[in-house]
Amino acid sequence: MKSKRLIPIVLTLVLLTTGCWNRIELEELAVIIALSVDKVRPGLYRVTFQEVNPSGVAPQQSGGSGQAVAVRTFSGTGPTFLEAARKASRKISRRMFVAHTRLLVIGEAMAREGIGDPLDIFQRDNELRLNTIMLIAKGKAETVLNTLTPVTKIPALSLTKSMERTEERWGENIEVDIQEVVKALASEGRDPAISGVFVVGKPEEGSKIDNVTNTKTPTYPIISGVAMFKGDRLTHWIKGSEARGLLWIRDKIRGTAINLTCRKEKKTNVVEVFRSKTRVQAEPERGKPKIRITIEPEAQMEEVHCPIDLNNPEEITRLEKQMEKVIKKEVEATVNTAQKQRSDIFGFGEVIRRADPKTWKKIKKDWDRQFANTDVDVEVKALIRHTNRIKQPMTIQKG
Amino acid sequence: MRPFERQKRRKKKKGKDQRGQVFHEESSPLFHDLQKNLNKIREELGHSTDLVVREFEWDGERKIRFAAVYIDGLVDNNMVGDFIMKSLMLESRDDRQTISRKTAFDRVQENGLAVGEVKITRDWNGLILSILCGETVILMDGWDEAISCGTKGGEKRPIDEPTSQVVIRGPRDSFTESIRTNTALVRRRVKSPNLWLETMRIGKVTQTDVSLMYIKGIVDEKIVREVKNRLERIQIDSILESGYIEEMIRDSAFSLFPTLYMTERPDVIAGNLLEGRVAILVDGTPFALVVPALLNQFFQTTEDYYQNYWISGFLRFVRYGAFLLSLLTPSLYIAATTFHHAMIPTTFLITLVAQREGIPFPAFVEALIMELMFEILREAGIRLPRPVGQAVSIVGAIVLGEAAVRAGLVSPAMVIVVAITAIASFSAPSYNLAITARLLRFLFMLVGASFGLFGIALLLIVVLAHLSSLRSFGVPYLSPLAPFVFSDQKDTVFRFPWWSLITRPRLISQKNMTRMEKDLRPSPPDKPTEGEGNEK
Repeated sequence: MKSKRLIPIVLTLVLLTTGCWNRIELEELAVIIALSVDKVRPGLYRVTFQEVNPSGVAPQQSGGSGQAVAVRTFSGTGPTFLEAARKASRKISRRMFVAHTRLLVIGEAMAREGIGDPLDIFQRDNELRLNTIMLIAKGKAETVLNTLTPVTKIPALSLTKSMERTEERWGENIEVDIQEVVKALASEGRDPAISGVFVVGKPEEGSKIDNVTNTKTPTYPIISGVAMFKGDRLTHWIKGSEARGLLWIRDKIRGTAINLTCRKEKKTNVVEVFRSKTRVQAEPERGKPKIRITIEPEAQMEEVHCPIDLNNPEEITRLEKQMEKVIKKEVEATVNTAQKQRSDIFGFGEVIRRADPKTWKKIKKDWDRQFANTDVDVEVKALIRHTNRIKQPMTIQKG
Repeated sequence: MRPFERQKRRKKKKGKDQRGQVFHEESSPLFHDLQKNLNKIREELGHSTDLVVREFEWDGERKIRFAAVYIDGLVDNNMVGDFIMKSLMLESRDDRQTISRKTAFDRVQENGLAVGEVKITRDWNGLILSILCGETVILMDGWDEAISCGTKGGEKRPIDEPTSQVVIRGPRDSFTESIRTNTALVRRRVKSPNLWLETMRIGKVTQTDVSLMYIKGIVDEKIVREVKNRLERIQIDSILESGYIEEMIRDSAFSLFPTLYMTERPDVIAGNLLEGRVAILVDGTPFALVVPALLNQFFQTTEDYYQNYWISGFLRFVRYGAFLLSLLTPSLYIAATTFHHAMIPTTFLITLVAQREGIPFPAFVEALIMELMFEILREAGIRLPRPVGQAVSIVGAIVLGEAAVRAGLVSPAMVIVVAITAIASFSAPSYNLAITARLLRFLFMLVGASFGLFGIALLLIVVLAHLSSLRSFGVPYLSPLAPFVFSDQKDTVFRFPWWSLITRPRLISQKNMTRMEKDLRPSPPDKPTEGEGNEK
């Protein structure tokens, strides 16, 4: 009888004393939204955190206390990343909570030394997420985190969103997360490529609240170029159309605009690609495989300035041919640069491994050199679907 | 446990000492002498002032004295006046002269009373009970038998609209406090000789009529027997509401989940009888019970069967969802905000953090305060007279919602959580089950606050295990989902169109499974044959 009465008491005790041990109330959290890693000098690293200031972001009905900054950053320096992070945490009152980190920026110096080391902790830690977007900063990564952005108040979100948008509309940067980078690092037949970011304007001004109260933001981070890696080390930056060449090959183009210059006049027509399909195939050819890239973009006319007759189907075919030539040139330029750097950011090695495992086994040790000499055959089959809402431009019709 | 038992024992002793029970263990026969009988009646009823004794005499060669005894208010006064008093006193005066006692009594019994229900009573218990039931008892001097006439009547509440189970489409009548009205309401809907009614009196003091209703040939006899057994087991002094019976005959004495279905709608009873269930009607309450009751039954409304079946199915989904919401919302909110911050979408998390800035209580306490306040508000709203009740709910909403947030006592998100919970629990079609969710919610909150989602998942498993262990009069509570009965799925979560509901629920009763002919799906008629086509 006595033991029976004890049961509920013990159960309650179990519930009340052992539960809640890892309970953290929301207001005790410092929500980290972005991280950056910089190399100060060999063997000394600087980790910077961007913490969201909730009352500066959330819609507040009882506003008043003037403008609050959306985020704040704090950093720590140390010989290891964890030590640097722990030192940084001394500067804040709350518990760092990194599960919501959306952005990881790595400074150029760090990237040139190698991104493998900082990525280890990202894979190992149970709070950090592998779908965190990665960027390489031209210069110091910390300044990117320090720059405030208007409209989308949290800089990290502003950056990731703008990257998403430009990737799908313009196609000159590539959105990669940690997982993709790690996979590329682990793969023998592929090297990572990560978009670059730098701060336009005066970095010191960017961290002030005045930066976001101007209509024309004086200081802002901008995504530009793609960092080419060899192994885990940054070797070369590619920019503009070269970067787009990479996206063509990786089949990441979801939309971009292509300029087609007129034959006689100094004017340009523009087609907008709205859909594209790329196939990369390896053709086994006795010990020296050949890569064949087939790109099939679909486009529509966006701007017409040349005196051409769009009612004539042959003109359209001619435009398609011209478009094919432009894309082919872009892609070949990118391949050339990569081959010069011996950095297989396209994953040709993997394509060969899949197509011809036996040959791959033979050449994989020497893949760096082999890659530089691999023949790459680019074929573009462009299709202009329609001329959009109108056919002939008004000016040309009259003349 | 112990003190409760002791009390019970004491009560029992008292009962035996007192003559609290109106009815003696052994019933004695009536006296021959009228005066003696009347005195005894008066004495038994404690000279109650509502007892009416009307004595009269047939004058003739021998004077024969009669007395009509009834309780004022329980009888239909018109009936007593017109059909008993009048006929006894005024009519058949002519041949009274020569009549003997024996023939007089027979005469009265057979011809003298213009009422339908007449029976002879010989003992005191029967006599007293008849009087208390609203019958009029005729006693004759020098005769040890009494005639009791069915003159039940008195003031009754008219049939009203149901208050607890309102529908948009469907009949608008509901049960009243009079069991006779209630059985009639059901019988009006099921005009079948197979609709059987059995009545018993339960309650030593209250002598409440309790009726079993079922459709012979559809119902499972075993269930009827079981219900009868359980009802007979009840030895209680009073039955004032069907809730007494529900608690006395339910399968699992301590379960939070109802295993008897409660309704005040005669169409629900009719529908359930046709599915092979047994209804228990109790005099004095508009709420009738239905057994066996399964969990999914509590998510169905009678309207499901009256309106478009597409919307019925959708609404059932909504109700299941609402039940889960009312059960889990606060606990999930607590668990997510105190343990699983990584699960909350980033922007929402930031908003929540901003809201909780400066809130003095942990999320659990915050939720507890709000939920309790809401329960108090709800209770106040029910208890107060209607016009004031509305004022309370307005004040409550404004004070609790707006002011508490302004004052920084609770976060706006918590107000939303409580509001969702409240609305979801109001949407439950069955009050019984809504109560269950109301109580379990607090348990879930506690577990969610101590162990997070892990604890909630565990408790859900416990609840599920408990549910699957429950039975209602032998039928598994979770059926037809567990055990899974394929053919019953057409009327569980979905409600298939009527022409496809060919069989009755399988587990309730295996008898007379077919409800209708097959192939009743309406469709445009085939091409008319030539002859018919020409005619038209």
